[in-house]
Amino acid sequence: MLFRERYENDLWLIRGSQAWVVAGLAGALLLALPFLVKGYLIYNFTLFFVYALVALSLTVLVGLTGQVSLGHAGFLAAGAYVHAVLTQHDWPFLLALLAAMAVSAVLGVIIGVPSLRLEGPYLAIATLGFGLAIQQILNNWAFVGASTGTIVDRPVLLGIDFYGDRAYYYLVLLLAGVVTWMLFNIERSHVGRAFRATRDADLAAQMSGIGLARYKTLAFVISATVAGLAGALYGPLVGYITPESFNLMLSIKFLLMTLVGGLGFLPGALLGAGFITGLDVYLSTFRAWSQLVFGAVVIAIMMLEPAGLYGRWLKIRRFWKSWPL
Amino acid sequence: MGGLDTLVQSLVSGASFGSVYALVALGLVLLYRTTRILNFAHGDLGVTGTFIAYTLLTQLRIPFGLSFLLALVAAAIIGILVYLLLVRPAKNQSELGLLILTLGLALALGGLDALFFGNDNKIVPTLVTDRILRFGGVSLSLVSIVTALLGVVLMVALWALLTYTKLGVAMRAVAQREDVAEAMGLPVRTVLMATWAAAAVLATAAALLFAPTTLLNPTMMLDPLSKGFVAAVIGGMNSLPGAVLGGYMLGILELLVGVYVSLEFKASFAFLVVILVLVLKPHGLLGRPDVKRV
Repeated sequence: MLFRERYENDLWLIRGSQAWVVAGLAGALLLALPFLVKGYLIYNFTLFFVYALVALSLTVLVGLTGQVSLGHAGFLAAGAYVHAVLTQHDWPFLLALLAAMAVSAVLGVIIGVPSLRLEGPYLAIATLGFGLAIQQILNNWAFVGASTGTIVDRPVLLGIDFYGDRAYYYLVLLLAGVVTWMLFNIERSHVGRAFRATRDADLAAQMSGIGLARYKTLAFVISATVAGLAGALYGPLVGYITPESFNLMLSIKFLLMTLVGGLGFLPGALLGAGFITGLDVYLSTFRAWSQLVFGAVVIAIMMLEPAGLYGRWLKIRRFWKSWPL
Repeated sequence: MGGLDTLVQSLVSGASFGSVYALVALGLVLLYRTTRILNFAHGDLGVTGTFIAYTLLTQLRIPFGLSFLLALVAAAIIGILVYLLLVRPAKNQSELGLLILTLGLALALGGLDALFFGNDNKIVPTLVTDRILRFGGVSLSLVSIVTALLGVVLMVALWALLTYTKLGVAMRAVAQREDVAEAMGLPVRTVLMATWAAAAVLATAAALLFAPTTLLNPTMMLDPLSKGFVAAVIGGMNSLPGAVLGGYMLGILELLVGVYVSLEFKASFAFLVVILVLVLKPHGLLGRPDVKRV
């Protein structure tokens, strides 16, 4: 099952028995994890799930559709703040979650529609401006606590208190897992193929009957919605959000996740999110060097392996499967 | 103080900010139109150059003009090294890949600056001691006038370099069509090296001009860099006059908004302007769209 030979290959979510074993083991490991590791690691893994959601959403936008976003922290911030404010006004957790996604989606439309006419650097700067503008608006908006930020509580759902790290881990795992599955499904459906067609040759795609306006906006909306959900899960996780938590550096980290993992591959986004989150947590113990090492790692990956970690893995696998050819 | 005096004061200090934005935007556009690289390390290149100037000035007690000159030379060398050691050998030569490369470079340079020179705020001595000049009811800061004027001098120098020297013509040729320029026998690699050097020099010049109005630290150029990007995009990423126009427009408009509308709104104003301009003119005010061949 080295290369895709038939249309049906394209449709399989999990290909071959080995992939099923790997997927099953990974799932079992994630379910058992809170009982295997210490408390702060559970927190970090939950953070990884949240970041992985953003990395996946960014892969749909940048990797599949070829539209750059340097302001994804803006969507995350929108989701987190909408969720925080609504739960403070006694909205139920899940309803606030949906509202956060809806507001983020609307922002996605607002950025997505003008982005149809923008390309390359113009889109990068427009989204950069969006991210910075959101941060500065929140910074000056007294209703949401301005620069001091706001406290977010963890929910009680169906009589279960999700206050503990372990309980909240399972909640995030469930939601992130469902959304990840949905995104993988989108990628292998006709929508995913339309996304890739607009990325690779937009004129040819248009000639084949793919509405560019529709799919480019759709990519922005899907991406913004998922990022909004991630934001709504991020708030209760950290417990306290400030505009500074959604700075430019965070947007850059999200972009790095998609590129380090392998641009255009959803599994790559998971790898990249794991790598960058892990590096971030590891480097936070020695602050003075962290920025330098972070930069050096990024430079090294860009210089040595353009296809990212997942691309390297595919090459290794291809080599062994077709060896000694 | 009358309304007119406030207006004149805002215009002059807006123009001094505009000079810095325009210089940053010029460096970004110069590099982008030749190499297709959106350089996020621009600010950190400038800060590194300013730190070198500061060290020469305060530690080694080298006179003002000479240490600034040496810092610009050092910046040019750093620019050339970045091109030769990082950009040229990079395997990922896509536009996005190179953008990420410069992001990595920005982080690494910022980290290096923090390690070598420290995170604390430093006061950079100014070329002239600041005085408040009064013209009738208008009081103007001497430093902001000098900043605005020096910015104009540098822009004229760049314009002369691009228009009247062989190197400038070669740079414009490479910017237009790299492959044709190479076929015509132009040393493309040298030209690209020179472009990187010029961009780094512009970055340092902008940072040196900006430093006296704030404090020198590794994140000093974050705000001017994002404003420089906005200015470059407003003017059009492939138009040098556009960068100057965008820089001054942004500097002056931003200050007017701060004075007449609201101070809180001032910070996010630039980013709303850029979205508005791009909706109306997707390639900036003076930029030309890339012609795509199918």
